[in-house]
Amino acid sequence: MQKIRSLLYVLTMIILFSCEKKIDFDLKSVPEVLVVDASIENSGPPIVFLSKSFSYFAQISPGLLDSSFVHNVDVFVSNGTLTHKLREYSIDTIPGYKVYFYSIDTANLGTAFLGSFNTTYNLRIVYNSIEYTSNTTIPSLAKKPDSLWWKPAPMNPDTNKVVVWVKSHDPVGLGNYVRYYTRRNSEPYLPGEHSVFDDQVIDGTSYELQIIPGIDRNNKLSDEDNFFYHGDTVTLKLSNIDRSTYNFWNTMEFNYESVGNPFASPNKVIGNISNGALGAFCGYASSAKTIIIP
Amino acid sequence: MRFAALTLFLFPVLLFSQSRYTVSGYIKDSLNGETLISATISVQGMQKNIASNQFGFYSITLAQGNYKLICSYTGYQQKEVEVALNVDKQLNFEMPPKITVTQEVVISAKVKDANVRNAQMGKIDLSMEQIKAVPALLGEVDILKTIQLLPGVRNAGEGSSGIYVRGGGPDQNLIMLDDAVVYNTGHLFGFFSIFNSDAIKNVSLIKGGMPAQYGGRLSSVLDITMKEGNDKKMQVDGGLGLIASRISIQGPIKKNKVSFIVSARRTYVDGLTKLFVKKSSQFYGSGYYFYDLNAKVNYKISSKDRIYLSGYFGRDVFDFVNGRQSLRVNIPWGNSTATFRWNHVFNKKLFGNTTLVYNDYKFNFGAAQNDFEIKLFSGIKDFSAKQDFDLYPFTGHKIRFGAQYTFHTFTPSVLTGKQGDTEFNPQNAQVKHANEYAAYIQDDWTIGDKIKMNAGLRWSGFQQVGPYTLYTKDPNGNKLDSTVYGKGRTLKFYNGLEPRFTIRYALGENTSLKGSISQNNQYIHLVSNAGTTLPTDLWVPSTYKVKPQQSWLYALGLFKNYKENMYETSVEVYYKTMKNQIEYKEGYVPNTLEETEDYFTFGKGWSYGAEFFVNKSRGRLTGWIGYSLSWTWRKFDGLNFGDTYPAKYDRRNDLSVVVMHQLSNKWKLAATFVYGSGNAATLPERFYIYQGVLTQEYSRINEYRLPAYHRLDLSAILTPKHKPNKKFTSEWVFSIYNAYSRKNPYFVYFDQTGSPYDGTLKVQAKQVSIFPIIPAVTWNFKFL
Repeated sequence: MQKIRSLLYVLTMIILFSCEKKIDFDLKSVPEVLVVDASIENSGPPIVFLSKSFSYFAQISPGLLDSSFVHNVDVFVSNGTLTHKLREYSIDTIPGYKVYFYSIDTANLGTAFLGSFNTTYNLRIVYNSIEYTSNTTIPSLAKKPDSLWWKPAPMNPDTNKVVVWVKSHDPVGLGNYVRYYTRRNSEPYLPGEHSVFDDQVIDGTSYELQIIPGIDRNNKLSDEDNFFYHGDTVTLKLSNIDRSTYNFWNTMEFNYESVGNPFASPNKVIGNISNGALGAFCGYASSAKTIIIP
Repeated sequence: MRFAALTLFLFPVLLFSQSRYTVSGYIKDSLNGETLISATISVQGMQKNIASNQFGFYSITLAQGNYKLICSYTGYQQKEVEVALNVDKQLNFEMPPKITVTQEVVISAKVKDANVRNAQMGKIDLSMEQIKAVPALLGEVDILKTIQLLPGVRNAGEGSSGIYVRGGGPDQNLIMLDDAVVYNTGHLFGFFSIFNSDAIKNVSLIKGGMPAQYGGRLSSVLDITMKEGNDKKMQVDGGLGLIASRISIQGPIKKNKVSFIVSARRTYVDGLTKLFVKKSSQFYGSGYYFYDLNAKVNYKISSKDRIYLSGYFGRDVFDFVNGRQSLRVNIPWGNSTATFRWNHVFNKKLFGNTTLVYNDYKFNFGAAQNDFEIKLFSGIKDFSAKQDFDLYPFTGHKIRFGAQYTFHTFTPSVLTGKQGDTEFNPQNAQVKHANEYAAYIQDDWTIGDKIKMNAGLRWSGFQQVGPYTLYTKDPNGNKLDSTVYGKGRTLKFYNGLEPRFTIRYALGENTSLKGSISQNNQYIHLVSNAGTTLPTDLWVPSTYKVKPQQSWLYALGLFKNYKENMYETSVEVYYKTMKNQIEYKEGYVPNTLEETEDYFTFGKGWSYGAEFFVNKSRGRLTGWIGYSLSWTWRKFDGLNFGDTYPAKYDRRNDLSVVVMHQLSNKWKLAATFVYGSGNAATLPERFYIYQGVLTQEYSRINEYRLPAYHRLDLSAILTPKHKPNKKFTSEWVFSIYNAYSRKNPYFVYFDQTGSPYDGTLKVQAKQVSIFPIIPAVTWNFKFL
C-alpha cells in the first residue's frame, strides 16, 4: 500500500506544478535520549552501539557525531543461562572518525557466548542510574535463499546491467519474517530500501523474486542504477527475524520514506527498549548465497 | 417508547383541520420545466409562508376566503395569483427566470429573508450561477471548493476539495447526489470534485442543527440535486477547459411529460502526456485521466405521480509503466450511484417520496512485474430504501417523517496474486456486512409571530451481520480458534435516539435569535493515516471492536438583515463534542493485510468557535465575507502520551471574501480572497544516527504550525451579445488562480543531504507549494 502511495505522489507532482523553497522553523530544544542499536546474529557476538539523540542542527559535523557516543556504560546480555557484561571498543572507520561499540569482553570469556538459533536474549543497560532493558530472539533458519540466477536488464540500452533473481520457500504458517541485504564484490552488506517482509502473501509457497540491490541511505542511487553488473560477485544474505525486529525495521523504513511525502503522516518508530530509549535489540538467523555474474 | 410519545405529541395537530382548504402543487421554471427547490409561497397581508420541498412541491392550508398568493424565488420574476379558496385547489406555478443585467444571484437562503425567518440554523443553499461565477482552479467549476468559502467550513489543504465542518473529520459529512451517498468526492486526490457543474441543479449545505431526516454523519449534510432535464425543448450545453471538457444534452422525450439529461466530462492530461512520451521510452503507456457521467430521466405520470431515475458513474484511471523494471501498474477507482425515486401526492396535505438507491465506491490496483502479478481490491457497496412523507396538516406546521434502510458491504484491501503457476491466496481481512436503519419524525412549527421551532427525533440502528468468522489469532496472525456467523446472523447491534431541536425567536422584523441542540450517531468511518484523504483510504463499519461515533452540537446565532434584506448578517457560536473518534495507532504502516481495525485507537474530540457572515444578495455588486474563529482538539489515550492535541484541521482564523460585479451586459467580474491560520503540523525535533543514517524523531502530534495560507483568485466572464433568433450562445470564462502567486505551504519536510562521516551532512526544512499563479480560460456554449 505504501508503494501505491509513493506512486500516486510521484504522479501528482508530475501533473501539478510543485515548487520547493527553504523555510526556517524555530524547533523546540528537547532533552537528549539514549539510542540503542543492539544486535546478535547466529554464530556472532552481541554488538551494542550506544549514542545520544541531539536537537536540530543545520550542519551535522563529525565532532557532533563523535560526542554523541555514550561511553563507560554497564551493558549486560544474557541467553538465559549465561549473563555477560560487554566491554567498550572503538574502531577507526574513516580517518579522524571513530565508532564506539560494546561487545564480548575478551578478558572475561567464561560468561561469553555467541548467538544460536531458537534462543531468546535479554539486554540490560545501566546509564546515568537508569536501567534500560529489552529482549530479542534468534529464530530458526526457516527461510533461506535456495538459488540465485541472473538475467540481462530488460529494455535497457546498457547491456552491462543485469538483474539477479532468487528462489526461496516459505514454510506453512504466518510469522516467517525476514530482512535481506546484498553485497557487491567486497563492499559491505547493505539492506534493501524495503528490507523487511512478512509472509502474508507468500505463506507456504515457493516463490521467485527479483532482488533489488541494497542501498546506502547516505549515498542513494537513482532507480537507473538499481542493477547489478557483469563481472559482479553478488551475495544475498537473508536473516530470519522475530515480530518485534520486523516491526522495528518496518516502522523505521516507513519513517525514512515519509520524509518529503505529503501522503504519509509522520510515523513513530516502534522500538523494543524500555524506559523511552530509542532503537532496538534485534536477533538475526542468517544465511547467505553468492552468485558470480560472468 | 420515547419515540412513540413524541409521535403522539406531534399528531394531534392533524385533528384540528376543519373548514379550511388547502392549495398545493409544484413550482417550476417556465422555460425548462425544472422544479424549484425552496421557492416561497407567501400569502399577501399575512405572516404565512411556506417553502417548496426538494421536489418543488408545496402545500398551504388556509381558512375559507380570497387570497393573493405570491410565489418568489431568487433569480425569477415574482408571480402573484388570486385564489378564491372555497374548495381544495391544485395550483402549479411556472416561474419565468429574470434574464436581465441586474439578475439577482444569492448565496444565502433563497427565500429573501429566510435566514432570519426560518428556525433552521447553519443551512445554506447555493445557486449554480453563483458557483459558476466564483473563480476556479484551472477553470474547473467546483461545488465543494465554493462550499469551502463559507464560514465554519474549511478545506483539507491546498487545492483540495475535501471539506471539514466545525472541527469534524472528512468522513463526517453526508454528501449525497440525488439521495445516493457519495463516498469519495474527489478526482486526482481531491484536487477536483466529482460533481460536474453542468449536471447539478441545487446544492444545499447544513452544517449545524441537522434536521432529523438526515443522519449517519456527525458534522454536515451536503445535499446535491441533479438537473431533471428540459421538458420543453432540446438543449445542448458544453465547455472546453484547460484540463477537461464537458457536454450535456437534455430535452423532452415527451413534451411536459418525460425529460432527460445526460452529462459527461473527461480530462485530457493523458493525451497531453502522450505527446511528450516517445514510444521507445521505458515509461510509454503511463498516464492519468478521469471522467464523469451523469444521467437522469423523469416522467410525470400524472399530477399525483412522478418518477425519477438518475445515476452517476465516474472513474480516475492511473497507468504506470516502467519497461526497464518490467513493471506495469493499473489503478482505476471511483464511484457509481443509481437512484430511483417515486413522488406521490397522496392528497393535498400528504406528499410521499419513495427512494431506492444503489451506490458503490471501488478502488482497484493491479501490478505486474515479469510473471509476478498482484491485484488488490477494496470498496464499499450499499443498497438503500427510503420512504419520506411531507405532511402539511395546516398552516404553521410542516411535519416530515419517514424511515430508511441500507445494506452495506465493506470490502477491505483484498489481495490476490500469482507467479507463473503458483497462486498466492493470502489470509485477507474479511468482507463485512451491515444493516443500517433509521426512522424519524420532525415538525417545523410556527408558534405565533415570534417563535418558530423545528423539533425532531431520529432513531438509528446499526447491525453487523454474517457471513463472518470471528477468529482468535496469535500475534503473527495465525488462526487459533473461530466462531462462525451465518448469513444475516447478528455479530453486534448498536442503536440510539438522536434528538434534534432548533428554535427561532424574532427580535423584530429583520432580526432573530436562534438556538439549536442536536445529537448525531455515525456508524461508518473513514480512517486515514495520511496528510490528506486518499483513494486508498478505507470505509469501515462499526463492529464489535469499533464503536459508533457520537456527537452533540450546541449552537446559538443572531441573524439580522438590513436594507430590505439586501444585506444579510449573522453571528453563530457553537460547541461540539465528539465521542469514539478513530485514528491509527502509533507506528501503523499501511502494508499489512491484517484487519485494519486491529490497528485503531479510540479517543474523543471537541470543537468550539464563532462564525461571522455578511452577505450582500442583490444589486450589481454581490458577495460575502465569512470569518470563523475556532478551536478543535483531540484526546486519545494511545496517542501523544494521552495528552490533548490540536486536530489536524484545527484552524484558528479563517477568512473568505467573495465579490462579484456585473460590470455590463457583457462582463461579469469576480474575486475571492482567502486567509487561514497555518495548519497544525508534526515536525522532527530530535535527530539520531542509526547504523550510520540520520534518523528523525517527530515531535508531539501537531506541536507546530505551518505558515499562514492566503490566496487571491480572479475571474471575468464575457458573454457576447446574444443575437435574437440565434439558437447558439456562448461565454468565455477567464480566471487566475493565486493571482499574486503566494507560495502556500502544501507540506514541509526536513531534507537531509550528504554523509555524517565526512562533515557534509546537512538538514534543511523545506516547504513544498503546489499551485503558483495559474491562468485559465474556459469556453462554455449552449445550443437551445
